[in-house]
Amino acid sequence: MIKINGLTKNFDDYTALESFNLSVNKGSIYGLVGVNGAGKTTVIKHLAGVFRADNGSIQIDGTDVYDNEKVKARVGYVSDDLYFFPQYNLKMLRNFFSGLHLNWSDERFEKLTELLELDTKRRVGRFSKGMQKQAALALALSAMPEVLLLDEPIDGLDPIVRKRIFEFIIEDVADRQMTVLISSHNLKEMDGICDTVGIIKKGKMLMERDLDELKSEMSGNPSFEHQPPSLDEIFIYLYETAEQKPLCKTAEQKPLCVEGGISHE
Amino acid sequence: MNNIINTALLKEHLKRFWAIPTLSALVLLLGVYAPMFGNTSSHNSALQLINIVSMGNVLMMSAIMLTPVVAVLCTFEFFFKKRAVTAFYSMPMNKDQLFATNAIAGTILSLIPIFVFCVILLLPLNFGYSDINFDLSYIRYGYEHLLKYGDNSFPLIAGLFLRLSLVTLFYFSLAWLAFSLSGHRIIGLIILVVMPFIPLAFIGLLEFIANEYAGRGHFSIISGRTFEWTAVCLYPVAWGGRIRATRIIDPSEAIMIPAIVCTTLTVAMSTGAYIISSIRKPERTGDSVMFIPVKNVLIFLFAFSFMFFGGLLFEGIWDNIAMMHIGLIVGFTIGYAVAQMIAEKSFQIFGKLKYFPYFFGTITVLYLLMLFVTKVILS
Repeated sequence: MIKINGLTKNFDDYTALESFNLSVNKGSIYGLVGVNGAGKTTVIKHLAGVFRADNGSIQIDGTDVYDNEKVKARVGYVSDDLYFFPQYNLKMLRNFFSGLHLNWSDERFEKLTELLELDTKRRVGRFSKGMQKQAALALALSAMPEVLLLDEPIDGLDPIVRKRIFEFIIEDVADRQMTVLISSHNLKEMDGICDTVGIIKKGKMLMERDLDELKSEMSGNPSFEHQPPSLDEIFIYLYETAEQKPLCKTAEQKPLCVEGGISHE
Repeated sequence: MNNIINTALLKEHLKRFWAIPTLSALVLLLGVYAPMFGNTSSHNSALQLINIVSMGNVLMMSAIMLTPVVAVLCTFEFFFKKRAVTAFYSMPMNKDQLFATNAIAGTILSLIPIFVFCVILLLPLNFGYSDINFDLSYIRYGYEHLLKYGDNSFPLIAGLFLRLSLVTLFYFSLAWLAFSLSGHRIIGLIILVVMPFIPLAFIGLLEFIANEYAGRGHFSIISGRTFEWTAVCLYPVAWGGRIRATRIIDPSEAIMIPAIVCTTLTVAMSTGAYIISSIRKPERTGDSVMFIPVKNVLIFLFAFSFMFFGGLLFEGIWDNIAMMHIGLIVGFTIGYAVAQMIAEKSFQIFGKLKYFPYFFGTITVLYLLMLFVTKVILS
């Protein structure tokens, strides 16, 4: 569903992404994990159509994303840095978004705002940071996107809201085969939610693995003090020790290449 | 229509920014229209009307200049805010649709108040002035042409609406171009103010040099009229003064050429603004200037404007060529320093002083070229 090939992006003298590759299957939840400044937000902004790549391709369902209104209409995006029209409440935003997105569902919006206990008549600017994030999630999910991009969505959310949001997302994935990409700096947060994780380091994809497979592979590894190792420990271990290898083109090339680079098609 | 613009966003802009045309219309109606009836003398009311029709009302022209600037600042808010640019660029529309929608929304917001004003102006002309003595022979500049409209005031008001629309669209496109070059509101405003002044400064300096080295009026190509025409074309607010000053009976003749130039400039600036908006990198939002090569050009032009003022000031105080040149150097130096501070958004520009010789060298070459043109080629 989502395919990024050879993505390179420079900001003046700084290379944010270099030959970055990523692949997400339809109907799956993919976790993009990396430390601060690794390039997660830059990847997501390319997928949302905000940035234009210097090199490489970014495609959703085989179609380029950049400046493509048809593709962007199928994508829901919740940024890390939220923006709402000043002085607007959720009801006014709902009116705007329902005109913008053809698949908008008022029923879903009512359900979400009720679930998240959001006051639709109160100015969103007056919400706390966590509530603003909830509002953004409610708006994005009510647009019934085929692809949902979430940039550090659970920052600032309490555990109860986090659980509700993810249950909703998982339900959507199961019912509508929605494809989700979530970025985070915490691998632990991806547990129980993501099917596949990709670890990004200094603008390059370090590895892409099925999360359960990763956990079972790392279990029993003598490098860890505690068994089974926590996901935080696994993340630190991989981040510090894994080499950045070329992408595999065939299964026979392992272990000299990055397994996640094997084509899923 | 939804292929060219996004109607949802257009409607939202018109809803969000309703206050712009409302306040502008109120200023026009209360500050310009109401005084026509505030005075019992029909002569004064008629003068007010003439002032309006000849675009000589300062309050009216200020409102018409500022409204499109505010409209651009509002509809193109994502030029200046990183959060907004992420939100707008991720909306389900392409960039052509985004910019077209914002431009059309801004244009509509700017034109509504003058449309309302002109429609309401038909009322006194058709229903309120039947008893007013329109004998204006004591008016020096010959506005007798107003009388020929008689009861049919529609052509008069239609002409006024067209002229005001042209001025509005001129300032809208100028503001759009200026703000598209910058990722910062204040710097965009500075560019907006300085931009029309650059050609004037250039022509003024040329005339300045010609007058100082060749005597006043020696060259027919470079004369006060060039400066005057340039000012009229670049500052449509000056049209009212021009109509009065030239004593031409038909004001349309007085401003026909400037109107054509203004229209051409409006189309060129809008096209330029559209292209620049499309190629702007969203990641540079917040930067003083969106394109690094343009930054140096703007610094140079800003310093050039200051140079002109410096030369004028020193020449005016000491009245000799040597002091004029010192004024040019002082003006350029101060202008360069100020421009760097604005571009870097900081007072710490000591690291940029090393580039000053290059800029100074460029302006010296330009000055010598201007000297060569005025003294050698045209003498």
